[in-house]
This record gives sequence, structure tokens and C-alpha cells, in this order.
Amino acid sequence: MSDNANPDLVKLTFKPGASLKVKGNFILKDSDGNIIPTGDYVKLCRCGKSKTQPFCDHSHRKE
Amino acid sequence: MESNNREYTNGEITVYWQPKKCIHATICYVELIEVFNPRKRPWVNIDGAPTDKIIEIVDKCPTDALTYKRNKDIGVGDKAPVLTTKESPPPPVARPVEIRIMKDGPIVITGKVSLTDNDGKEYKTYSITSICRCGESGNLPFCDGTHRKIGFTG
Repeated sequence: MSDNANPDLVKLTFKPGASLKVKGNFILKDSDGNIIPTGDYVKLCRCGKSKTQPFCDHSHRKE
Repeated sequence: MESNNREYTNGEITVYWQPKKCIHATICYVELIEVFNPRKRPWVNIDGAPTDKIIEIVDKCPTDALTYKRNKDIGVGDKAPVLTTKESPPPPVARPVEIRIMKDGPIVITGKVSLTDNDGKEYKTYSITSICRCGESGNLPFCDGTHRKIGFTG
């Protein structure tokens, strides 16, 4: 399966222990449904330690 | 197994809880803690809010973990526990993918996405995909509800 077949598909990629990289046409919202402005690429925290939630600040590397 | 399924009724409606279908989107207890409180047993207090409010929140459950039926006039407006195929499905609409950051909970992704790790391994995704944010899930990269046990905030 190649993602290239569908350029509109939002791609999520991750490394174990690191962030979730999101690329494509998406809308980011908080719990209340408020839009969090972004471009078409974000790195979201998966380790729970970022000081800039929901975005990754590389805190996962400091272990 | 099936025995973990629960039913709660206030006379007007019966709410069905199927824990195996829960993806821990947390919408139910974030929006209506008076009824859906995972720290209490039973976790559903069906008398905690008016029927209309409960229906509103059950309809927001992204899976069929929470469903309901009206005890009378069954039919219109029900989010029935069994999927009906009588009506034709709505036409596919090209909506952008929505990524919702649940307070103290997971990343809930609605829409068609691909999910791969850095080795190129593909993970199956569904119309709703719930990704762990606390780092402690036993089913990474997916959420398994551990954030609540460890008191994750963020």
C-alpha cells in the first residue's frame, strides 16, 4: 500500500517514544471544538511531557 | 466478554454500554460528568441529567460503545445498538480530517488517515482513531484509557 496513490490522505507517522507527525489537509481542535491554527504539518506530543502541549517540544529526548 | 456490557434506564430511555467498543475519546465524561463518571461505580448515573441531555452526549460518542433506545416510540432519532441498513448510507463527503486533542486524554482523529511507524509498518486505522498522549498506553500508539489511571494532565 502506497500513500502516494492518494495525495489527499492525511499521513500520520511516528517513531517509538517520539512525537506523532501529521501531514496533510486536517483541522486541529481542542476538547471544546475550538480550532487550533496550524499549517499542514504538526508534531504532536505522545510522551505526555511536552511543555507546549499538544505540540512536541522534544521533552521525550530528555530521559 | 459480553458480560461486561451494561444497560441503564431511567424509564424513558435505556443507555447501552459496550466497553469493548470504547476508544476512550472521553467526550462523554468531559461533557456530562453528572451522568458519565468513570471514577464511580456504577459509572453511569442515568438520573444525573435530563433524558434529552443524555441523548445529546450519547450521540456524540464516536463509536457504538454508548448507544441508547427510547423505551416507548422506538424508532425516530434513536441511536440504536444494532446498526440498521434500511436506509442508504449518506454519500461520502470530502470532509477534512479532524484531529481533536482531548483534555487530559488522547488524540482523537476522525477521517481517513494512514498511520505508519518509522520502519514503514502500517497500522490499521478506522473512521475514528485514538492515539495515546500520556505515553503509558499498553497498546501504543493507540489509547487504552491508561491516562485516567495515571492522572495524566495536558
